[in-house]
Amino acid sequence: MGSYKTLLLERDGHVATLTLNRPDRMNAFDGTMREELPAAWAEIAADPDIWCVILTGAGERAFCAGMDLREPPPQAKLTPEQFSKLPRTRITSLDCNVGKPVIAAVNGVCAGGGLAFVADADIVICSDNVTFTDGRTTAGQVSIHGTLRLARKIPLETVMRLVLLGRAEKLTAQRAYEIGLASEVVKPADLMTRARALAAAIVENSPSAVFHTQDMIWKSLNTGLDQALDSGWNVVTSFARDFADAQEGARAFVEKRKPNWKYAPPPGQNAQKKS
Amino acid sequence: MNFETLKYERRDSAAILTLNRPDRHNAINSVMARELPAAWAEIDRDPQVRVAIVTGAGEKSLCTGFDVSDIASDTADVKSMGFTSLQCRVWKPVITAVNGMVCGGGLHFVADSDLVIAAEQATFFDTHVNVGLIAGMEPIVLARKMSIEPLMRLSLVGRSDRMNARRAMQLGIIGEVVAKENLLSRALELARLIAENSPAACARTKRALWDSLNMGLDDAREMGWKVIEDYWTHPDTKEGARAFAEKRKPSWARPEGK
Repeated sequence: MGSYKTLLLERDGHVATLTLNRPDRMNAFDGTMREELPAAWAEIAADPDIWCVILTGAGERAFCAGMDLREPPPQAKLTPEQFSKLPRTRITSLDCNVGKPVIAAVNGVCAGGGLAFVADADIVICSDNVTFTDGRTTAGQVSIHGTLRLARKIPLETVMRLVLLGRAEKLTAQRAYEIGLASEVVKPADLMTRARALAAAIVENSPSAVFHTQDMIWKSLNTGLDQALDSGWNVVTSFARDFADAQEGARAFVEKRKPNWKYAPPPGQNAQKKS
Repeated sequence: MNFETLKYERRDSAAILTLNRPDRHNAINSVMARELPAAWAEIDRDPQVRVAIVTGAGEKSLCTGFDVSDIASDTADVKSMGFTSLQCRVWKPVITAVNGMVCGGGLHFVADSDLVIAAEQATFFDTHVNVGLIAGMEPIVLARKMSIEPLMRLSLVGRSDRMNARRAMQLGIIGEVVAKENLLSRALELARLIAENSPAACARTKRALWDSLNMGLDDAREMGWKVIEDYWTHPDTKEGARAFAEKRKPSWARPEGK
């Protein structure tokens, strides 16, 4: 695994753990982290041994506090002309078309742009002491990154509260569980154990079936329901025809043995990369 | 109606459709895959039927999806799906009564029904990825009905992670949890309450809601307005207002099939 200044990337079996590693700055992303995240996601995407990713933050206080406000915002030193040509911020696995399942293990405060990691994760579990908050409008910024996806993931009133009340609103771990933003709330000491147990269960399954299922669900939110079901049906039938895992799974089930899965790159990696 | 893998009965204005392979957890084999569309056609056709109830035989399971042993030998046979009212375009209201375990393709009945209630011991999970298959249909509908994270968890973790009835209720996937001995009577009670309302208004309201999921919000609001305009001349609109003023039970027009 590559070495990074602001991240830790490790692999154990088929599970990679990516840790946002600026604990003294509550794991806020600065310019370096913004450059390193796409590189780390690219490494994860390309590695055939990685089938599932756990994303967490270093230290006990924060998961990610969003953009590091100590750094002048990019627009401060650029002309409007230069600013309009800046590449889009790509910090999450969805932004970077990784196409592999991500479990966010939220170990502390998740704020502002840090919400993008939670919005874009497939599975979210959190420590019982964490809060989710969005101070962007309080700091004079629009709240867009992560927010638009959150609006498809959880009830809209909750999203509106977060973005309009700004720093004054703190969504607790318990409330995050109730509304289905997170599926598990645990004691801080148990967080990584639970994340690893979930990852272990996921990598027992066919990686290709997992990648395609995840891709279908996210893509289905881009179209109307009937159209999404038509594409779903096409993928289901072509998968059963073209992927050895479909036959292997049924065979292993009948023969009561562990299946031997074959890795293939996720379909999500073929998504058009817009700058 | 007589079926090999289904039990079909009518009680007052409700049709009860029971998936009836209890020794195989009511899994869908190729016979059931053929019989389900025929049952939905009958529900749509019979003007006495106002509401359909879907449930499973026995106390263990509603449905565990495709019978894997059947599918392993026989995949080419399945050209399209007509398991549910939504897939068969039946616009009469449908209540699914989850009597036990429901997993894999059985989730179609949870996803595609209008009301869902469950017995206390019901569990929900998705086994597709365990056996190398994509969960490419059920979650797409569920994604319009519930928060995405718990859905992703169901679809990606597979059989080792089971959601109980209480959590399904909390997330709004189901509307009621009842003791198993009361499940069918509660479903029939809900069916009776729905049957008191105008069948045409229920069917068109149901259809507008499902259709609205096919478009953006502004387009859906336009579509909704057209539904209201089209319905305005329907006899039930006058009858409803008249019965209300005269403090009597309305006499609704016969339900509209396809």
